[in-house]
Amino acid sequence: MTSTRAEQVERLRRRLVAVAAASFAATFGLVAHHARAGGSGSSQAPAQVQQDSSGNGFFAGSDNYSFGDSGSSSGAPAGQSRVS
Amino acid sequence: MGTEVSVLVPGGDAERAEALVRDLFEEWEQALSRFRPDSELSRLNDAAGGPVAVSPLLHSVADAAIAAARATDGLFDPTLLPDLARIGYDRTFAELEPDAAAPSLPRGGGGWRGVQLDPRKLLVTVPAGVALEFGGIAKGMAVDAALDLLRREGFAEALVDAGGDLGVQGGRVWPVAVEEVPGLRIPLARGAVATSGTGRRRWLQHGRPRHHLVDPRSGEPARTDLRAATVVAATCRQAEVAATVAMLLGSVAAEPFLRERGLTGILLTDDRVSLVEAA
Repeated sequence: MTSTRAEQVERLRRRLVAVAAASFAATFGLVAHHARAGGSGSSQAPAQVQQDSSGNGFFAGSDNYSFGDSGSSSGAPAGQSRVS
Repeated sequence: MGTEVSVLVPGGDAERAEALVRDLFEEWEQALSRFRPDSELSRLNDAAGGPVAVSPLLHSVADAAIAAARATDGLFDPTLLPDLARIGYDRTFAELEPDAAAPSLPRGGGGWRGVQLDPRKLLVTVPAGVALEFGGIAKGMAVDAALDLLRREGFAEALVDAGGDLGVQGGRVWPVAVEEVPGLRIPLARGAVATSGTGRRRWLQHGRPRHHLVDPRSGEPARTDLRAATVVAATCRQAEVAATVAMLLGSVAAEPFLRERGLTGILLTDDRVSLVEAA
C-alpha cells in the first residue's frame, strides 16, 4: 500500500500525540503503558551495534525524557530540530 | 560552533539568560574548536604522542566522546579529523573552497581506542598520528551545560537551541518542530532533541559530491538510506550521538538501536517517515 508524504506525516503526528499522552499519563503514575513501534522493517535485522558492552553507561538513563499532553502538539513551535 | 544559539526563558530576565549562555558557548568554542589554532583542543592535537594537562571542560568532553565511541562500537568516532580533511572539510564550512582537489591523507577512524584519559591528574594522551574532533557531541553537551547553568541561576523553565540541537527544562510543554517533517510537533516536556542528516554541509570535491557525515568504517561520507534522523533523549549529548549513529546504521538497523536504548526516533527516507518508540 502506498501513501502520500502528507498521509505519512499525519499518521506520525497522531502516533506521536498518542505516545505523548501515554508518556504524560505514565509520568503521573496513572498508566503503565508503552506502545510498540509500528511500520515495516521494525525488528527483522540485527542491530549492528551491541548494547553498551563496555558498561560505561553512556546511554544510561537515555529514556529519562517526557512528552507533554496531546494538546500541545499543535500551534507555533518553540524550537525546531534540524540538521546543522 | 558555526551555528546560531537561541534561548527561551518564559517570564525570566532574557538579557541575563542570553549573556550567561553566550559566555558559556564562547568558553566552549575557545576550548574545543578545531578551527581555532589557539584553542585548547588544537594545542592538545598538536602535542599528540604525549600526555597533556587539560581543563576540566576538555577532559569531560573527551571522556564523554570516548565513552560514546565505546558504547557504539566505534560508529560514533571522535578521531575522524584526517578523514574530514581528506574529503575537503578542513576549514569552517563557510570558508570551504569550491571543488578543491583531494589531498592525500591517511584514514583516521578508530584512533579513539588509543586515547588515554587520566581523570585524577586531568591528563589526555592522544596517540601520535591521531587527532580528536568533538563536533556534534560538544554542541550537545554545551546545550546540556547551558540548561544546567540556567537552572542554577534561577531559570527553572528554559529552552536552549544550538542550531537545531535543543533541550528543555521546567514544567511547561514545548512544541518542537522538525524541519525535515513539516507539520510535525514534538510536545517535549523534559529532555532533548537532535537531528542528523546529509542534507546540509554538502560540497563538491573535484566533481564528487561530499557531505560532512563520515562513516568510520570507510572513512568516506556515509552511504545511508536515511535523509535525516531525529532522536529524543534525556540529554542533548545522548540525542546527538544517537542521531549520528542512526544515520550511519540506516533505517532498518537504526530502529532496534534506538528502541533498545529507550530512545524515541523519527527516521526519514526518500519515501517514508517513521516513528521509533522505546521498548
